[in-house]
Amino acid sequence: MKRFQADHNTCIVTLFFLSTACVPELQPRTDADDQDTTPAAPNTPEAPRDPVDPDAPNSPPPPNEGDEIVGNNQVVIWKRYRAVEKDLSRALEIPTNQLCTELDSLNCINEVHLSNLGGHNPIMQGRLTSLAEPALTTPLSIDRVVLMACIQRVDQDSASPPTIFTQYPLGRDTNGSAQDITQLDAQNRTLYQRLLSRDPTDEELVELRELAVPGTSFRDVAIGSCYSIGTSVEFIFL
Amino acid sequence: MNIHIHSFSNVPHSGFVLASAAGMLFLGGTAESRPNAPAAFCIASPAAAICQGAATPDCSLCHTAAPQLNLYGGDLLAVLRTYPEYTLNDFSLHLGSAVNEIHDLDSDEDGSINFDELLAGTSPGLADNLVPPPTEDLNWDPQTALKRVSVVFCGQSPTYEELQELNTASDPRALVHQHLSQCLNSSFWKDEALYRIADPKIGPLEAIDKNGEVSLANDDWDYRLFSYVMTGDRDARELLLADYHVNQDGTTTTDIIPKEQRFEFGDRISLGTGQPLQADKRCGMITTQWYLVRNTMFALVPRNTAAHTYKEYLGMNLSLGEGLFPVGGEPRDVDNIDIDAPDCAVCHSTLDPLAYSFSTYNGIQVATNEDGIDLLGNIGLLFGNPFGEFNAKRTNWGADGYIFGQPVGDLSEWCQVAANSPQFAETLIGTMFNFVFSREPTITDKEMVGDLQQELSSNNYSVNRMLHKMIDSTLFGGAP
Ligand code: HEC
Ligand code: HEC
Repeated sequence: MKRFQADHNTCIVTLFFLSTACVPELQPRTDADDQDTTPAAPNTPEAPRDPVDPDAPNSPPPPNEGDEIVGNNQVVIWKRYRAVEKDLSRALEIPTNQLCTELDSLNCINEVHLSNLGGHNPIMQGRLTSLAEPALTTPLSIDRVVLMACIQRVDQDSASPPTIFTQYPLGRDTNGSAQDITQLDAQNRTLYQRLLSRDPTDEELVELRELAVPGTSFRDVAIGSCYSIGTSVEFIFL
Repeated sequence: MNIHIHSFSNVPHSGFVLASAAGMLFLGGTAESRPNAPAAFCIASPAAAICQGAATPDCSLCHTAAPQLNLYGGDLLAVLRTYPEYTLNDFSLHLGSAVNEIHDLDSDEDGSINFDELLAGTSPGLADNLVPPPTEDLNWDPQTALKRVSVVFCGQSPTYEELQELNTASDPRALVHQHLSQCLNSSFWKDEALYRIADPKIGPLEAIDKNGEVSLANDDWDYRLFSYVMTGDRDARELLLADYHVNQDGTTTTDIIPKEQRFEFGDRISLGTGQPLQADKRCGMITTQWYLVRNTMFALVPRNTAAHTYKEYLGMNLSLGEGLFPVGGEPRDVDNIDIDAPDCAVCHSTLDPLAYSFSTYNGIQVATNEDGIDLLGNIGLLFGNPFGEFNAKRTNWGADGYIFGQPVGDLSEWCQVAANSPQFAETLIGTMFNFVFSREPTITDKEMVGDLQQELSSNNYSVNRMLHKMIDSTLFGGAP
């Protein structure tokens, strides 16, 4: 966490407050209405993909989020709190109750960010229904939860024999060598399979390589990749 | 029914009757000569879809929330005002020609003229029928369907391996359905999703719940019953018909459940819990101790209970003027609150008779004196469990009920009519549709809703079967 901050001072600010992923080098995002933001249908080669979309969580969801994302009459289903929790827990092998806490004890998903993540609690909150659509601040909540989970996994994998980030040494910086790239791609393939339940395309792997500017620590690369995939439109909307 | 509805204050319950509006009431003779927009409307436009059957049009045809007019109502008023002789008092005399004059307009600018919308049953004052882009370019895609099934009904995405398996499956659709069956049996679905769906129906309130400061009833029974009826291919009409309760271990019982918490005073006061009602007086979700305590409370005409049931299980919100089936001679003002005033009668000619059948069921029965709760007066609470009990003598209008304009002798009959009504099925479908798609079905979903209704009725109201049908739709599984 420290190095991540130190190395990416501006990024950490945006990460926490503006929800812009720390990957400014990534190709600029196309218009939200654009076909490019269609959640990729697996195995449709021509389906456009933009999972590593730094701006996606930043742009407040328009009133008709669904239409905007798919640009046709395809229904969009919002992955709500419980599925976000269970998916992250399974993908990153972190027990649900340890995924993310605020102020050390409040559970992010079931307490702090519940409404924003599309849930409600009749007793704790006195609310009887959930939001029909993501709120303006939903992306912030998603950012927060995903980022906390990713950092936790990377921390654990740094401290003990890694369970998920097994492909590259979290303790050193990338040098851009061919071997580093191969390891990076292999790791990102795993992350795609774990978080999005599919293989990445070649372009997607290439996009993710932009996080690994030589000299960046693998730890930051790991967090950035995990966060980018976990906050992608495809992770949140189906 | 000849009740004036166009001369009352905008907030029926606020207690403010605007002086001017109240004054108007007495300008034009008897209540009988007063205009009635819904009835007058159907005389003017008998072909309109909303004028078919026994109900009269909702106020929402012309109002957002009365007296605010929607776009259609606004156009009507604009025309009415062009008539030199028009006053509010002879509203209904002029309504017909005004309705005709605006048939060719498209008040809500959604592309269909008012007349067409009236025939089709969509709202001419609300762009509720904007035709979305066609779905023809979408095909049911097993991958999309599986992901959605998993997330919506299992609360978790499919794994990489599960999606791979789908690619090589000989019958991917069958695999998706198999997955749905598993989800519908999962604890996410049974103990979480369905609980959250039930929240607005049950309306938990911590303060009076089993752990509350003053515990009056235990709504765990309500949640378990809801979840039970909505799963396992059970008949969803049991939401309003079940004569059993579901124990913590998942078994059912028709027994009376004694109080789980003793009558006690102290830091916490425990007065209710258990289920005191005998099986033959039960109507599923709407006669649990919790429901009657929560909704009826002290009322001798349990209007809240009736209106809440009407809204949550039959889809009609009477406070918006929906589902009006006025009963002649009602409201009789049985509880002497001047509810027979025309301002009130517009809704209460439907609501009071709807509520009579609930009046023989106790809500909260607590004797009080100057010091608060009267200990001696509450001996019954000590030994018995009176909240939510049946009490034939509680009022003498318990046998005078009506639902959908049809007389019913008691609540059991009320529930039979309600559970077998098309409104019940539509509401059930609407509830599940909303859970899945996060919106109400609209006119563009008519065909799908029709299919679902068909599926429900030909499968003994099994919600599971209906959901299997739902996921087969292009709406659910469609991908480009
Ligand atoms: C066919 C259209 C139509 C329907 C249906 C309708 N209204 Fe109206 N309503 C109007 C119009 C038009 C006005 C405005 C009349 C005026 O200001 O001259 C109005 C005015 C009112 C007003 C304010 C005037 C007054 O009388 O105080 C109230 C209150 C009202 N409506 C209540 C209702 C209720 C309650 C219902 C349902 C039971 C209902 N309306 C159904 C068209 C309708
Ligand atoms: C637009 C329809 C409508 C009109 C008009 C209306 N009511 Fe009601 N009333 C309801 C509904 C619906 C309920 C049930 C509670 C709820 O949903 O708010 C109700 C409940 C009540 C209750 C029971 C409230 C309680 O907490 O037990 C009383 C008393 C009542 N109305 C009196 C009146 C009086 C008096 C008038 C006329 C001044 C009136 N209402 C006009 C719809 C209406």
